[in-house]
Amino acid sequence: MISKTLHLDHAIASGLSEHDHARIARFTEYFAEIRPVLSAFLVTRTGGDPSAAGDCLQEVAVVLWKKHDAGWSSEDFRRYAFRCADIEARSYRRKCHRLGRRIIYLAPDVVQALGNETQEQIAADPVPSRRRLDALQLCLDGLDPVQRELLDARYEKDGVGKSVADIARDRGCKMEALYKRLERIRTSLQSCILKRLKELHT
Amino acid sequence: MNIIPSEQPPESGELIELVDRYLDQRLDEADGKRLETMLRDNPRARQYCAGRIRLHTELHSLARPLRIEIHEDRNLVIEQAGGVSTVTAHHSNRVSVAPSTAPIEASTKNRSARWWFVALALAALVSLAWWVHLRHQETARQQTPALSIAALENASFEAEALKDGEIRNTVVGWETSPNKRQTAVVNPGMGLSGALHLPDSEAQLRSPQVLSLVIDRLGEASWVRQRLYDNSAPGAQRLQLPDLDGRTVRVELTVIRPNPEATAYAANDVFLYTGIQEELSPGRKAAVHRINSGSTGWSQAHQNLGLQNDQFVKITVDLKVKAKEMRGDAFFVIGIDRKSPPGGQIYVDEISLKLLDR
Repeated sequence: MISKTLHLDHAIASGLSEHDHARIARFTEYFAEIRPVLSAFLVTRTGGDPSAAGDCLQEVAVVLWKKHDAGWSSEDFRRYAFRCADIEARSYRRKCHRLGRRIIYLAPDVVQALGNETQEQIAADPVPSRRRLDALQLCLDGLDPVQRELLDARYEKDGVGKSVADIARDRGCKMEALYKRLERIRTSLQSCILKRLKELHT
Repeated sequence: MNIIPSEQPPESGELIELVDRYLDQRLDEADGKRLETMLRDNPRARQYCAGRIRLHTELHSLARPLRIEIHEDRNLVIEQAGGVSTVTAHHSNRVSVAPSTAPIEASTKNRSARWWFVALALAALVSLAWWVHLRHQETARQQTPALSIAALENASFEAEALKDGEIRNTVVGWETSPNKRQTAVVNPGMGLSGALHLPDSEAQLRSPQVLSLVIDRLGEASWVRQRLYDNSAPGAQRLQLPDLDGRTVRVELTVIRPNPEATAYAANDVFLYTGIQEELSPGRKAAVHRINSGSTGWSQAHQNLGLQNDQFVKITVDLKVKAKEMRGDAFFVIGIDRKSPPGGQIYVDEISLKLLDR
């Protein structure tokens, strides 16, 4: 299974010229590769808000689509993407500031160190990001229904997702207990991804 | 069957909870400081947090596939004169799902022998309707919440720095005319070809890069534009043209006349326009202000700057918006008018917009 980052309307896609197909193929390949690390970067730059990071990511994708050209290497694409992401995140923070929205940002040096650590982890990963997502999907499919239900609520299928506080309120349980259960599931998922990747590799 | 082995996380309970709260937007100031300290001092904590952020985004990306809708307009114009063919390709992108509602046109004519009676009745009706309209407009004005234009993105035209002091010339954050050499971010000291542009004025500019707009020898003129947002409400809503109707947008910007490369276009007068534009074709302007970088030569100009080469000026322009039947998102646009002498070039920098009170 290959994860598709960009969803193309099949009818439109089939009517595209060879040049457009090549352009879309290049864009989706490059973008899919950097999407996880770009998302992580944006999460740290938006005060840990995955939803805001997702919105910024969408804006970055649009700029990248408009600006990238055939002469770019994947490294050119990556560098430009991070520059755009930085600008998007700054714009988001300015908006929050103007709207008086309260966000706890980590200190710049900590965000920088965290960003470096994330990049190092991803760079050290021998498998492409898409393979990792495939492995994660397999692991999610293997969860028992109770664990899956909890994770679906947290990361919701429609992409909105509930906060831990909302889920705790819905289920009438304590937030601390829920944090621990989610943490156990996520730790298990990490191990499962590694296991699956080994299987896929061999 | 649960295929996942059960493992206990080796990290401290406090770190786990703080990271979770961070990703859940539930940190308070004290928690934030505590997490900062842990991440700053403890590489293992950073490793754990980075791993969790990565997994978190991966789970989000599976749950929320990225969807990008791209609408593209293309025009290909082929002109032949004698043995020479000129091909011009226009290609613009937009990301939007906001169709404009076309005005309903009433074209039926009622011819009658008593036309004068009908005309009188109509005149009375029109007067009544106009009075009602004015009253309604006044009421609506009183009820309309205060709008405020959000700051433009990349308003000072910063560029990505490359190796050896070079920059990437792409105009980030702005929709641009198609030709990259006509519309580019440049170091004001140097043009795209490397020749010196602002030997004296460069040091007086506040930001490192500027926007370069050019009209080429074929008369193809460049422009940039950006969608406007309202930041008076949560979520930064797009501003629609009817929102701005009757309002004044105050624009402050820096205009710089570069020293032309070589001697081909020593005059270097440029006719610049700035305005509020509709999104869709034909891109009519609900407000426009025309500026001549020289002192004479453009009868339509609202303003003659009389700039010399290698000179810059900060100007303020009031755009009075008349949306009429125009609908859809409002864009701020600035570009070179096609009536400009071919080969002219102008720099623009530090743009800010403000919606004035009624």
